[in-house]
Amino acid sequence: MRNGLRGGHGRYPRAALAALAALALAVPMGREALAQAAAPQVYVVALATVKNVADRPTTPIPASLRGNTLYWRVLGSGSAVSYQLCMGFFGTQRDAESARQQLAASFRDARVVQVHSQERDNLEKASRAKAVAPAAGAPPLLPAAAPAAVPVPAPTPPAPAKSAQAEQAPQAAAAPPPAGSAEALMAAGRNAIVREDYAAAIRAFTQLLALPENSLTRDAQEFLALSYERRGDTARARAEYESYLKRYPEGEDAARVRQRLATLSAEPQAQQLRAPSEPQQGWRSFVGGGLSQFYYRGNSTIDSRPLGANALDRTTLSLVDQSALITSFDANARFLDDTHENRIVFRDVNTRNFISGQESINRLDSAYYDYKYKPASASARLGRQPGNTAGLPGRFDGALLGYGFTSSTRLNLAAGEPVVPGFTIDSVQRFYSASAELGPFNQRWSGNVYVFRQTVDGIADRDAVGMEARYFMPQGYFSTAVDYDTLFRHLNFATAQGNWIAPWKTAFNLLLDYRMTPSLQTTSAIIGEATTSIRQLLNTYTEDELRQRARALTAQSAIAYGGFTHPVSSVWQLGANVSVTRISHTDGTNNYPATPGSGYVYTFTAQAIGTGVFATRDVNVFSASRVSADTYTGLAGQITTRIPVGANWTFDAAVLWYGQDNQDGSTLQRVSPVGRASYRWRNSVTLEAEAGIENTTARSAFLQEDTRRYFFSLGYRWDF
Amino acid sequence: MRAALAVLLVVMHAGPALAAVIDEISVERRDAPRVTLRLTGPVHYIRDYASENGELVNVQLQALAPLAPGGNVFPDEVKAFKGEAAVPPFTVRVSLDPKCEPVPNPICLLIQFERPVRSRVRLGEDRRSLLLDFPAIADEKKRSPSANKTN
Repeated sequence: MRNGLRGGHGRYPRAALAALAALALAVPMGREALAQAAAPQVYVVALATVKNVADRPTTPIPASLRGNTLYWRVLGSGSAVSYQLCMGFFGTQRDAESARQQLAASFRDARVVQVHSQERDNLEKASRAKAVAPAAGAPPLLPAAAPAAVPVPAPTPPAPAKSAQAEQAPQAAAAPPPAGSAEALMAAGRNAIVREDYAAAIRAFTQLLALPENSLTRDAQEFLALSYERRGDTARARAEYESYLKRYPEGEDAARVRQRLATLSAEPQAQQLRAPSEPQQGWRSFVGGGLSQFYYRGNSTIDSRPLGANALDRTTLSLVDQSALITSFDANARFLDDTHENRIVFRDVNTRNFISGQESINRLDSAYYDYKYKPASASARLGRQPGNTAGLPGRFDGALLGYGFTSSTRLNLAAGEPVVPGFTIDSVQRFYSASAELGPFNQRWSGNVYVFRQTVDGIADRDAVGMEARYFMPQGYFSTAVDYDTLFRHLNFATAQGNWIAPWKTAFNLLLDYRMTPSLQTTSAIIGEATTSIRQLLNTYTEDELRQRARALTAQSAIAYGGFTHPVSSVWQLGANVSVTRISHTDGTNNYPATPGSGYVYTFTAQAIGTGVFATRDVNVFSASRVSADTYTGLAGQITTRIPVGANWTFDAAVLWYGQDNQDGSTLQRVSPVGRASYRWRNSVTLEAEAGIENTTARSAFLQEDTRRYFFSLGYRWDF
Repeated sequence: MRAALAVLLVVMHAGPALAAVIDEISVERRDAPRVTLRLTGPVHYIRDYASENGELVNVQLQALAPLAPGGNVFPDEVKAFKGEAAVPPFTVRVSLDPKCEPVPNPICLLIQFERPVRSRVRLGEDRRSLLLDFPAIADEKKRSPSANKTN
């Protein structure tokens, strides 16, 4: 079997050794390839795919091809793993095809596969790393013929490593490096990565980096970043890659690290679109969703007792204030391959009211078809869909088309009719908009700009331009958005928000938000009118008058919110926040009265969050708030506990207390305990019941009113 | 009373009510799987915290426009994820009850995994998604309800 893949001496046993040595590179390589930016592609010939490397083919390789590299790729599909023996690397498909034809007699299933050049580079790097740090337990040597190098210290998962090491027994006899040396730590770290024990890898590379600068420091820095990345700690991975570039800004490795850093900052969707070397899996389909039905019932008893002289005029009123069956249906079907993705979404909520005078409502939330063509980053979505981005209405019937011109520039066009549940008008509203999604730039900046125009019964309803800028860093983010209405010549909203985690683990967050409520639009002029038709109102008012009326019915809302949370032990974290809100008055019209503003409302809240306080699996929240406004002050306290019990039960309990003193001397007290239990049956069905009481006492100088409300809900949810 | 009426007016007339908060749950297969909860609108992240074993994860958000559908019924939205790419099955319960967090327009998410798991929550860079990462369980030290959002 000389010159074959199994046993013997000479070039190909060494190549086979190399193949084993390179095994396990494939998983990282395949997955990493998902994240690579567009880069040169190379070709390999996939000779055979086996379930176990021990089953590697014994077929001889033609002499003319023995100078090439043989290596294993690991293919994963769900939990199943198979191994693909490959020969490479070929710069052109033609060369690869020529090689395949020479191999066809021995490997009938051989085929040409395009792979990312990173795969070749990984092999080279592994070879170089081994050359630097030969150690017992370290990955075996790659063939001399293999181009050099890879920052993936992966070679050889446990099983194949055994074979490989057995085949190079003489080398294993070399004396191991002293414990704690750079070489030993490098070997330990690399082996830990092979075992996917990234915590151990991080420990080893961190220790190595603590040693004086040596020949392995540079690789260790890169491996450390890689370990964080594999562990899923993107923020730390970024920080370590950035640290690498600060220390080693030049060279081929630096270019590779820059590429990985850029990849980490890319959108997940974009990364999926770049998946170049994963084996084709054909069309796949998924269907999922849920159906739930819950019955809600509430019963209130109101006991009014005049105080003072008329104390005997006591009245009691009891009524069912809620009796409704709410049915929700949600279905999501997906049909995709590596190029196309089709998705159909349907979501509907039906409320059947059993109290006379209360309307039954059906609300179709979503019913849309979504298509994505991945190679061109193109997409189309048709039907009732959520908007809420780049000036779009929260929900609309229409179309949204997108195309990515570059990895950092995407154009979206949308057109349709807005849908506002529970707000039906006898007018036709239509809109169209264009937006550009920009970024990421410098791995941290992104945003969008947009123009939006909406008409109602043929006249301008809302014209707006807007932008959003976002800055994300490992410790938090900051973003701001502005929407300016060019029709009303007024700011529609401006918001700024941020979140930052300090090195001492305190998390801060901030929100400043100003907006017109409702959004500035001519349609608001129908408020208070006898008709909901703008067309009819145009018989009475001019367009400008309608806009003046709309403006007079629109309030301004402002919110400033800031808070922090800090862990004080393994069980407790404490937090506090303060918010200031204000809603302005409205001027009103001749058909709708002016409304007063709320004044400034200040809310101070302190929270304690405890986990594992009463049981291993519980979560408890204790909070206290003080509300202060122009006309009242209030105090609130709340305790919430949630405990899963066994495999199928979950219990929730909450008690809320609220007390309010009004400026006119009246008071209000409310206590509300609520409990909920849910039971999961056969994994897909959940039965749930909730019940509670709300006791409210309102007292003024002349009257005391006690309200007791019982409420419960009962139902099921089926997830399919 | 007049102030309360003003608030009521605003709530009634405020922008589009979004009954459905979660538009899609998807998983991305990477070296470590990542689950994306795509939301129907932009949100402000406030905090998250989890039970000691990671089985329950609470995420508190704030909508930048009123989401509550109105009336005195706030049926929670519940979505299930069947489990994929080593991510255990879980359900997400979304509550828009104003009492769930003392901020205007709160969105309170309860993620309940079928088994203990270490996860990390962060806001997506589009502000319209939540990302759940799953570092290897073996890598995680004993969980603490820390602000570093490692659940």
